[in-house]
Amino acid sequence: MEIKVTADLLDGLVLALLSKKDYYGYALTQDIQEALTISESTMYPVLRRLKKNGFVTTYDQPYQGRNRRYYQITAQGTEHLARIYKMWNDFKISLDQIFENKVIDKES
Amino acid sequence: MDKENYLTELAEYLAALTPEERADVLEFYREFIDDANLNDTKAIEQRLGNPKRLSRKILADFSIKEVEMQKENNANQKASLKANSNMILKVILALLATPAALVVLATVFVGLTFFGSIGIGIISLICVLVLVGIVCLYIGFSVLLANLMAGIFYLGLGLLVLGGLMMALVLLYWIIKGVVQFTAQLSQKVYQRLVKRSN
Repeated sequence: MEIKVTADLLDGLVLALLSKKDYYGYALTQDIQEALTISESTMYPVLRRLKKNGFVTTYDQPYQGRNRRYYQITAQGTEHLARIYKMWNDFKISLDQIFENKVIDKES
Repeated sequence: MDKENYLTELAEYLAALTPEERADVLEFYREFIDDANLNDTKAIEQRLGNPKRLSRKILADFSIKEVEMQKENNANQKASLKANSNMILKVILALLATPAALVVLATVFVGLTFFGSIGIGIISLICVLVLVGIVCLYIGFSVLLANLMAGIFYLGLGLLVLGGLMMALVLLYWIIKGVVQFTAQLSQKVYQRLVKRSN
């Protein structure tokens, strides 16, 4: 059984990683996959959507004779990240209140 | 080279995208394959699936997000008939890449046969009515000089039939649009349950 990650949360996670440093596609996928099981076909649409909304830009850099496309967060992206993080945090706190009460009941 | 073969095939399946979007997707996956050191077709397909499967998932995500974004941007305006029809098609294609493919295929076949028969029935009815309308107008014109009242009667009847038919066609268009909208939303939910879970 897996908890489904919404598109918003996924956007937020990608933006959070990008807020620390610029990433190229593969490295970003690897790091996200440390936290979540997502399919290889999920990353591209997320990045495309973020770019389309102006939250992320791209630039190219040569690497070992070929190209590497880097993704970079924008100011708008940073704002959007803050919004999503707040949403997530509120959600987390509300759920934890119920879960933690339940655990305490079981122990007593 | 296996990588180029894979990407060329992927490009073919992504024909529905604009050239820029397609180039972006291919660039992303070209780099991915290089960075992940996927050296042969087997390794690539193990990681990404076969080109057809990958393309279906990418296209389905494009459509779903676009229909969702359209809904967000135009809260009251419903997604156009074309966008919805496109989305339904792409969701069906994405579903065909999942294990439930046979079920989906059977459902689509039954659905098409059902709507197909209804469609044929409606088209026949429309043809008959058009014919009736035209015949009435013809009778009306030919009788007009001999018997004014009868002529006017048939002309009126012909115009009534044809006019009513035109209104009915407009209504039919609205009904079809509504049905497609409903099916689009339904298939969106099915997609979210079945395809996303198989990730």
